[in-house]
Amino acid sequence: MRVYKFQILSGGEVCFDLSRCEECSSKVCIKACNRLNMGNILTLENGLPKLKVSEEDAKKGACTECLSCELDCKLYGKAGVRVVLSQPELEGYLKKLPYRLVYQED
Amino acid sequence: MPRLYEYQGKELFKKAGIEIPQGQLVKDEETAKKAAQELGLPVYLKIQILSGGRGKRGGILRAETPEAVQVFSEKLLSHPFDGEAASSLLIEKEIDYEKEYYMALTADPSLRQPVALFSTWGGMEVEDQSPETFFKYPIPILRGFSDYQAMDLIRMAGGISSPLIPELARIFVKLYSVYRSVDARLIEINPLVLSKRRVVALDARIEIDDDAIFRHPELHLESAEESGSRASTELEIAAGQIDAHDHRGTAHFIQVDPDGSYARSLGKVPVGLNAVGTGAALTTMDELVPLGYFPLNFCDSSGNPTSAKLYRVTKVILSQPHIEGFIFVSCVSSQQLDNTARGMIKALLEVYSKTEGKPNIPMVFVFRGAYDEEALELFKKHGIADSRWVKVLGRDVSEKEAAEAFHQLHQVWEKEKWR
Repeated sequence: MRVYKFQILSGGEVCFDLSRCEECSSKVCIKACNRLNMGNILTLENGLPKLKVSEEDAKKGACTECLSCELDCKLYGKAGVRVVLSQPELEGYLKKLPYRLVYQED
Repeated sequence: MPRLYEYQGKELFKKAGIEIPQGQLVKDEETAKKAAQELGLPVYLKIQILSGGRGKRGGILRAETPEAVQVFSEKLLSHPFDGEAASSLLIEKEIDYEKEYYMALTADPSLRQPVALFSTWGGMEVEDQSPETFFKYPIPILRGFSDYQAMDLIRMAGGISSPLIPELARIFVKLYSVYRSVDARLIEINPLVLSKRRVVALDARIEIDDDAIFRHPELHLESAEESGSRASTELEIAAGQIDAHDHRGTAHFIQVDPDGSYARSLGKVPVGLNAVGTGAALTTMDELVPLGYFPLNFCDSSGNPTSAKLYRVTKVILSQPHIEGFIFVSCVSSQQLDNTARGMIKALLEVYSKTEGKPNIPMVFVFRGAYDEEALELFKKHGIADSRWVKVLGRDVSEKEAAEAFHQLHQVWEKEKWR
């Protein structure tokens, strides 16, 4: 899988599955990111999404972490964007639980 | 507010040149006995927990013999102390003293200044003393706290011999340096005792400003929101990390009833709660309780937080044990609610991945304020608004109506659950 990714301020990554991006005609992630009040950090380069700010700036907070790229891609694109937002403390807590949480029930 | 253990506070005092009793930190009975032998009997065994009032509750015991050290250390370490497990004891050599004082520095929000507090009535009964016995001095933060200002304050208390006043003042100034160096909100020595012309800090209470935790990795604080006198829970610590590296908006989460036992004891149904604005959160809690529900947490995710923050805090709220519902209510705010919605939608899509975000418990979402229509639209587009157990409501709904909508949904859900 060819992946384009960059880091974001809160600790996490925005990841693009470029093979899906190549198949995508909507390029909705770019539109979503460049709407009013959004981060305005993505552009198209050779038909693929890319940062139009530096990776350093994206990590410093230029990415507003609105999640539009992921959610709009899921609705109108090829579900090729994933914003990975790690929570190690929560994951550690969940691993130790002796019972199932309500959303883990069938 | 994150609090340091007594032994941590005393380490800071020692570094600053404030005298403390000879002592050792121990984790089991054997090392307790060894420490007592080295220090010389009698000793005090002091349980290391974060809640106060240990002396009155039997958390500080005096031992005159090695056998007593063994029995007391076992007693304090092997069982939870008022529900709080302790992993260590501070063993301290007994000190004879003639007089107890109270010395503290705290942040006074009404003055927006640190305030020095002093009283000649220190000790366990300090809380029963009348306010007139406490003397205070607001400290101009840019100028700091000098010896002569401390001496003025101590003199106000009266009844202290002249040679002792400069000594107490020197300790006060050292205490202020600790207060500033760790970004404390409260630093307290009670009692500060006079023992054979020496002034010794017998206890240490230090509470750190929540917003300054990131500046003090050396303190190894794992704390989160203010959790009163108890230690923070693992979920609160997890939630505390949400704001740790990102200043954009806040996600204040605290567990009111961490295991749901209090809700059950009242015959109430445990639920999770999130709100934009503390007022909206508290009003919604007030509306839910008479209908038979008890929010296990308080949460205020406001100040225009990122969607990522909402995603993370929603996962934390839904990770509380045995909740039978979730309610989100925004106050009428300028917060960009479409971002708020996106965070919650991503969380639902992830935790309910098998059902494409459709939950298995009743959930009510109320969006009122900027971009509220976009928020409603997003819930529709992602198919979550159509879920059987979801109601997404707009700006024409009050907190009372939100609670009633949840109640109606829960009643139907409960009937189905037992069918």
